[in-house]
Amino acid sequence: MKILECKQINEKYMEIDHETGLKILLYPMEGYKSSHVIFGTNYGSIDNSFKNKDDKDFIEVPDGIAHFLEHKLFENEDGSDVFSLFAKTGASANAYTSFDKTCYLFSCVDNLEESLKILLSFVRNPYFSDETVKKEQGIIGQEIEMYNDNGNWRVFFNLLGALYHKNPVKTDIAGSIESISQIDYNILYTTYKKFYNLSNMVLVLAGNFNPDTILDIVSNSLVKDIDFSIEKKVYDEPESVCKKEIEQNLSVSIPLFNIGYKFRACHGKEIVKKELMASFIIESIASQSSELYDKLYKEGLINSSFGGETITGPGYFSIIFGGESNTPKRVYEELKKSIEELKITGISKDDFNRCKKFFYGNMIKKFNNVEAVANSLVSNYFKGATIFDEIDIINKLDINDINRMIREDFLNENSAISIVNPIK
Amino acid sequence: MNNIFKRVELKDGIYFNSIIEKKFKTNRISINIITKLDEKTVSKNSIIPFILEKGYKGYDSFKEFSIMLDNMYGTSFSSDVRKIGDYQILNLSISAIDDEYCLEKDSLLKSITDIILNIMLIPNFTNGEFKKDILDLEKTNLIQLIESELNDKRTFCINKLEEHMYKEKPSSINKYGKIEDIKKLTEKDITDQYKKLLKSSRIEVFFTGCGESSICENIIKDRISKLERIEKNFDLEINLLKSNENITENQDVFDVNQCKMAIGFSTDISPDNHRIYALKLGVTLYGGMPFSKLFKHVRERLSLCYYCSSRMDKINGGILVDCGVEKNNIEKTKKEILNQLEVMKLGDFTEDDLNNAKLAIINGYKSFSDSLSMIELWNISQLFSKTSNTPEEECNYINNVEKKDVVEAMKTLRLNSIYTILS
Repeated sequence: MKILECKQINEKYMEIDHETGLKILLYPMEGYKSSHVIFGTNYGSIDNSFKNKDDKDFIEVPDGIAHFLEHKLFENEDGSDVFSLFAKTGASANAYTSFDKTCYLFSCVDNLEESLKILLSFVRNPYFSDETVKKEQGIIGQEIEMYNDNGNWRVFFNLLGALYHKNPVKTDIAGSIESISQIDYNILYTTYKKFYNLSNMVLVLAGNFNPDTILDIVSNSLVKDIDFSIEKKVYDEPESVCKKEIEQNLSVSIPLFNIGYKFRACHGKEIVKKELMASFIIESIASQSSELYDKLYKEGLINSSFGGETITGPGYFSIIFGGESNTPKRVYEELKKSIEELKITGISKDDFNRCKKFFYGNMIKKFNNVEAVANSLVSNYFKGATIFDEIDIINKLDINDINRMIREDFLNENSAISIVNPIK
Repeated sequence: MNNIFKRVELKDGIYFNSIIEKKFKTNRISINIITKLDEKTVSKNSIIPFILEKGYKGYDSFKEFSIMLDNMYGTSFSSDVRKIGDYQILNLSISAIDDEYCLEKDSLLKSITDIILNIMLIPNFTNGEFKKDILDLEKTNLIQLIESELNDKRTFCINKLEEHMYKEKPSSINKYGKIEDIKKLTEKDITDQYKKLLKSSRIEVFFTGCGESSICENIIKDRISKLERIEKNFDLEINLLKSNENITENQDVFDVNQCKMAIGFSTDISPDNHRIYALKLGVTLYGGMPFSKLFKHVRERLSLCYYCSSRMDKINGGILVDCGVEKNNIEKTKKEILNQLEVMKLGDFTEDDLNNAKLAIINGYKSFSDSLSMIELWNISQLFSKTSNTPEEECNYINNVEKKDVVEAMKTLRLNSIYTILS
């Protein structure tokens, strides 16, 4: 057991390499009544081609399979569903699939031990049949249709499709109605066995619990897995974008836009540092404190929905600006101009110090909330970092590194715009 | 909640509420200006928080204001308009890390109290009125905000149902007002309305966090005491939806892949009546959880929907069910939703089901004390319900409900309105 500490904010947690191969992160939070628990696997929607040491060739699976698996794990062999088990403990359970991970979770105040046993059991005991797969195709089909009507969702995925040539981040997490129709129970079992190995997973608890009790439950519930090996297909993604512009018409009131800047992808802990540097850039160029925001807002080109974010993971790294505007292409032009100016001037010392304080404060706020702490533990772990690394990185961040990133990576030629227009 | 709760009336109809929880690392101050929803004033009111947010006397540049907040360790300020029952709530809130976590010896708590009061009390007037350029910009933004409700069809569908269902009540009014009225607003209109609101609205100030609330309370008390108030009744009234003889069915056609349907029911159980806990349990069993009737039957057994759930609007006396569904399955889905309600009224659920619903609700209530915003929401909800229960007290009430109480409570539901978005 390792204790990880951050003296600056007086916080600490435990990291355990369990004998089963599972990594366990335990973050007790004094004074809190609830706990948030996440059991996650390092497997998401982008992992659609892979092999292990026994396979000769890469196995290709239909788009949307990670998300389909997530749904199906909630069903037991006797036909009952997992929610009916959690119903007896009062815990609020859920799951989600992102580009690079699948997480099963619950939050509770009472009966933590019982709920944890249910979580560990259902994720480790899959049951799929032809009949249950067919039923799920109907439900997920409705979920896909729901997202197809969502302008903000479509403008985002259309942009990723424009930015990326090959990386599967360009594909909708749930796949399409066509791709999920190819899923059968054999593919589900094959994929499950490859990725739901304890050595590829993490268990995280934040909030109110006794660490010894948790470790006892894990030891009594889980057995060591067979050795884990996986090779995920690495896509040879060009630095350039696939398409400069993409537009779609949907039932929306005002054009929605996403403008994306494609950066060179990085790996491991480097992602956390670069992500933070990118956040400094977004904050200085597009936040309410920036010249650009002020100008565009006063001219009525953007409204308060305008903002930026980073999208990062294995093989992809982008900064995305989004919002609503009657003239999205003018916003794009103004943004390009500001970036060119920023390349010359660089971020000012004042802006740099302001951003430092801003992000430091936001990080402190995260430790107010059990769910935020648990989520941050998981996402940092899968990036090879810890929840405290961000604070350390902020302390050591060098303005010259950020200005170099702006000059070398923030390139207008590697950008694209996606617009969802109202149907006339 | 194991926190320290204090409530004092600072001046006629202006209350200061403080909830101190030492485990948090931040402090939050929230000001709620509460006024009755009215077609004549709703649009004037709704633009006010967005204009106030853009600066105050001595700080007329929004950019400079934002820079100042960033430098205060990412202090966040937000303004919004809410609607509870027949009331419109103009909300201003500010949140910052506690002084203990500042890298230098700062006193953020005092600063954020000053800032939120400056925003509320000393706007940036020109010739005694709000500035025209700011008003014009915020009019455009507010209109866009109203129009953008269309972008999220699920919320749009629920809003449209409420509009039809509550048509005899002020709560049918859009909380942001009407586009045609916003277009006509002048500097004088909103300046007069702003002054009127400060004189005659019920105002609820909340301090939640780990800091020294007396610092905040003393500053607020000092400045609020100078406000001129008009003698009036600041009571919040409960006005339940009346049951409908004729069920209204409305629909609109949009270019969408998935249709949406919302179904509304009325109940005569008031939020300050003890039967409300049985109703809460009934609505949870019906469609509030992933083990409820609607999830089990409409989604899992019949594969008709990805989501199909029910919720209670206790202040208005309304129960809502909403779902996303294929066009061909609308009638089948509606039939099953109504059928499952009849099943509830017949008491076709087990004691185990009831205990599970109790556990789920109690789990939610007990965890409220772990979130600053939920602590405030709980207390506001109590004000509008005309109750003053702690979550622990309501957990006890929930625990004491019997199956027969739930059946009786569900029998009060009357179908009122149906609204559908068709493709």
